Amino acid sequence: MDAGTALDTERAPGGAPTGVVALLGAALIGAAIAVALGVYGREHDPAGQALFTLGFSGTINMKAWLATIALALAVVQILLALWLYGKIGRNAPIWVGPTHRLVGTLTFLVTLPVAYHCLWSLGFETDASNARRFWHSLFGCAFYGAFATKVLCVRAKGLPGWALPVIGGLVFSLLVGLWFTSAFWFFDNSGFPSF
Amino acid sequence: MPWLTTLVRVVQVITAIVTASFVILLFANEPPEATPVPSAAADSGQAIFETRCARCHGTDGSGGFGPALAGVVVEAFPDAADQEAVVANGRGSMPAFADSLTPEQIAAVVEYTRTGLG
Repeated sequence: MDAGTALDTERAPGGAPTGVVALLGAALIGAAIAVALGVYGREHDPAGQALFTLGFSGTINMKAWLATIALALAVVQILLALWLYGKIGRNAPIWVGPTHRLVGTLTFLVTLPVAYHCLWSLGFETDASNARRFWHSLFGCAFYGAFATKVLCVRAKGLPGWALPVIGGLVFSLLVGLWFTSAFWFFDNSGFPSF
Repeated sequence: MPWLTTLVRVVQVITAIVTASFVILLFANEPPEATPVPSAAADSGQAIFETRCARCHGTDGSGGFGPALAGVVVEAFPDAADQEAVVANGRGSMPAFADSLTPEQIAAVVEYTRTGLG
């Protein structure tokens, strides 16, 4: 049987296309991860300490720079994705796909020390009157939820064609929001480069 | 390009290990409880600094989670009242201490950071 035909006609027991079921399942798992991070940040007593600073003069400096590196990698990631989808340049060379996965993984890796110190040291800001911290907290939790959804969807079969670009765009948008509410604010207040 | 595929796999494995480590640390790495300021030393700027500030700014004020204070705070805050306002009201990630320290204690700890940390 032709693989494409099988994907188009494959249906879950309830009758919905398997791709839609997979998309909903991935979105639910992503939402659960986002909520779990928010609950941890809300319930955990902020440590107010640094686990490491990676040679930077302070943890906030380290976080701002790692977030900036992550944003730069994400821009590369978007460009590679556009290349894969044929939106820029001609047919993507064979190395573009693996490089896209490599850059995406590195982006996630770079964000981990930032997220750890946000959650463990500072916690979740629930006071909406402190808009920057409130939105930063929301964006942070949503980012990892959206990222998990994206990773799960990459492995899924028969997804709607718009799914991956939309989720990838959401992940990128959340990272931009995270950067503006943290690193941009830090550099604006403390000066650049503030290593 | 098999080397690129291998590199992706290696980075993915490293990322999975780092992710698992951070998740474990979120629950396993609990900091020691903050020591309350002894009442006899309640007005000592050094005592207040060591119990309330050193955790973020370093025991010698050289910085940590928060920025360094030793040797730079006077330049950053030529007027001590401005620094006291930051301690009282907080700024950025730094919490406000107006509810947990008296104005006299805030003035004492600010004075310590300006003269006692070098």
